[in-house]
Amino acid sequence: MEPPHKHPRRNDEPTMSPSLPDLSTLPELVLIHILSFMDPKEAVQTCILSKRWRNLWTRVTSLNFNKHAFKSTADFVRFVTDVLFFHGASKLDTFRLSWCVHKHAVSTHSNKTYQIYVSNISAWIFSALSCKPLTISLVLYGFANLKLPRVLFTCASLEQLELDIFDSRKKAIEPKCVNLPNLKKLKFRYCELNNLVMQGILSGCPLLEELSLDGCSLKFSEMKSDVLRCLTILSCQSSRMVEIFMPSLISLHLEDYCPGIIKLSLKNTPSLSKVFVSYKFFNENYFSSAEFGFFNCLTTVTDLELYGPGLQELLEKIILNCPKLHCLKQLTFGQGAINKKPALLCHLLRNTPNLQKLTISDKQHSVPEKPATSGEPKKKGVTGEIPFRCKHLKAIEIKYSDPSRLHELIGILLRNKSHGKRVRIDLSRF
Amino acid sequence: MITLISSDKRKFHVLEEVANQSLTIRDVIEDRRGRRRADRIILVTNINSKIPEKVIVYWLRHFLMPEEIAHASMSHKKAEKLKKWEAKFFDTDIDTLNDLILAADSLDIPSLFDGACEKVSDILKNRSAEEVGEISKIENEFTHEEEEEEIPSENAWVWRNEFA
Repeated sequence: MEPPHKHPRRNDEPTMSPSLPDLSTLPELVLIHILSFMDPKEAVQTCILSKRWRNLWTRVTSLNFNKHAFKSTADFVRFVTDVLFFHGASKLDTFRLSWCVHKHAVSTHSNKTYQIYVSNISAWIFSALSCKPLTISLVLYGFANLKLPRVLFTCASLEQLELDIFDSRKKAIEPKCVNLPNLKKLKFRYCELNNLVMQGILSGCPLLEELSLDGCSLKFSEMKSDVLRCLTILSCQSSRMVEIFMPSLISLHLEDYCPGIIKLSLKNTPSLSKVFVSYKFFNENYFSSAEFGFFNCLTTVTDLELYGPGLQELLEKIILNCPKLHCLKQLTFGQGAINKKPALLCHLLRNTPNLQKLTISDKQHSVPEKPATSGEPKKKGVTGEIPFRCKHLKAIEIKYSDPSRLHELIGILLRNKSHGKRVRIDLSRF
Repeated sequence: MITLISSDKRKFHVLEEVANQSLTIRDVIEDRRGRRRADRIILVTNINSKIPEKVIVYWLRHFLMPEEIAHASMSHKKAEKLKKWEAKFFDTDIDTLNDLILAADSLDIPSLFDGACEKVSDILKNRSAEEVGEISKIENEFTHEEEEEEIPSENAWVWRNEFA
C-alpha cells in the first residue's frame, strides 16, 4: 500500500460537482439522457413537472415508438407525427419503430387507409434520418405496399441498422443503391434477400463488422466481404448453396441450424476462430456431402461450441471422415448433443490433438426430438470406446441435470484419456 | 497502483488497469506519467466514500470480463450473468443513483453512466406528476392558474391518448 501524500495538489484533479441529494440538480444533459431511456409517451408527459422540464423532452436522444402502447391506430399515428415534429432536428441517436398489423385487421380497413399509414411510415423515417441517427430499428409487420425509402440505405451517420420486416409480398427491401459508410452492425429478420440486395449491401458497407440474419430466406448464392468479422445466421433457409468468402471473419454463430434446409459452404475463411452451431434436428434425407465440407473448413477454429439434438446423428455420419482440428483449444458440447452415445465423444477427441478445455453441458433440450431420429441408431463401427490423445487437455467441465448419466460419461473420459496426464474435472448441476 | 481520495479523506487503492475504465482518470495518469509516485494520488473531492466504493466494485466486475462485452455474440451466458449482476448493483435508492450518475459523468465511465440513468428512468416510469416531483424533489413552480388551465390546454395532445 502506498502512503498517502501529505498535500496532494488540487489542480488538474478530476473535479466533481458537489453531490446533492436530489434529481433536480442534475445537469440538463444528464436529465435528457435519463429521459432517453423512457418510452416517448412518458418522456413527453414530463413537460408538466416544472418549467425546467417543460421542453426538456424535445431533446431526447432516443425515440422508441411501439404501437403496442396505444389503443387506437389513429392515436399512435398522430402521436408519432407530433413528437417527431416537436423534436425537430435536435440530436437523435436511436430511432426505433415497432408496428405490427394483423392480417384480419388489414381486411377490415380499407386499402386506402393503409396506403396512408405506409406513407406516414416513410415520412417518419425521413424525419428521423434528418437528425443523423446512429441506430435505426424498424419492426413492421403486415404492410403490403411498404417500400423503405431509398435514403435509408444511403445514410452516412448510421452505425447500426435493424430491419425486422414481414409482409407477404416481400418487396420492402429492394435498395437500388447502398452506401452506408459508417455502418458496423446490420440485422435482418424475416426478410427475403436476393443476390442483388446481398451484393449491394456487402459492397456498400465498407466498415460492416457484424451481420445477423434471423429467419430470412436466403436467395443468393454467395456472400463476399473483406471486413465482416462476425456472422450470425438463425433459423434461415436457402434454396441454393451459399458460398461464404470472408477473409476477416472471426466468429460464426449458427443457431437452429438444419443441414439441408440451409446450405452453407465456407470457401475462404482463414481467420475463423470461434464457431457456435446449434443443430435443430437432423434429417437423413437432406444430408449431403456438403456437411463434410463444413467440418473440413473448421481447421483454423480455436473455440468450437456444438449444441442441439440433431448433432448426434450428424456426428455419427461424419465422425470417420472428420478432419484433424489442430487449432482447437476449447470444445463445448451440450443440450442433447451426446446424450445417447457418450462414446462418440472419444472419436471426436481423437481429432483434436491440441484441445485444452472440454465443456459438456448435459441439459435436456427443450425441443422435442423427432421420433424418426430418436430411436437407437443401428449403425456399427463408431459406437465403441476408443482412446484419444489430447496432450494439452487440462480441464473438463461437466454441467449435468441427470446424475445417472454422469457416471458413464466420466468413466468413458477417464478410461480413454492419455496416461499420466492430470486432468481437472469440474462438476456442476443445473 | 493509484490512490483515490474521497471527500471524507478515505483512501482507495486501485490497480491502474482497473481505474483506466474511467476515461478521465486514464487521461490524468497519462498526463502525469513518469513523474513522482505521489502523483498517482487522485482526489475525487466532494464525493463521500460510499460512491468510490461502489464505482470500484463496478470496475472490478467489468474488468474481469472486458472481452466478453466486446464479443457479445459468443457468450450469451456471461452477458446474462453480468446483466443480473448489474440489476442488483443498481438496485439502490435514488440519492445513491444520483451520486453515481454525477461520479460517472465526471469520471467519464460511459457504461456506468448509461446503467444508472436507465435505472432512474425506470424508477420514474408509470408515476403521476406528484409522485415524480416527490421522489426527485422537483419543485413545481407553476402558478395555480398555469397548472389548472394553461398547461393542460397547451399540452392537450400529450394526454389525448391516455389509454387505460
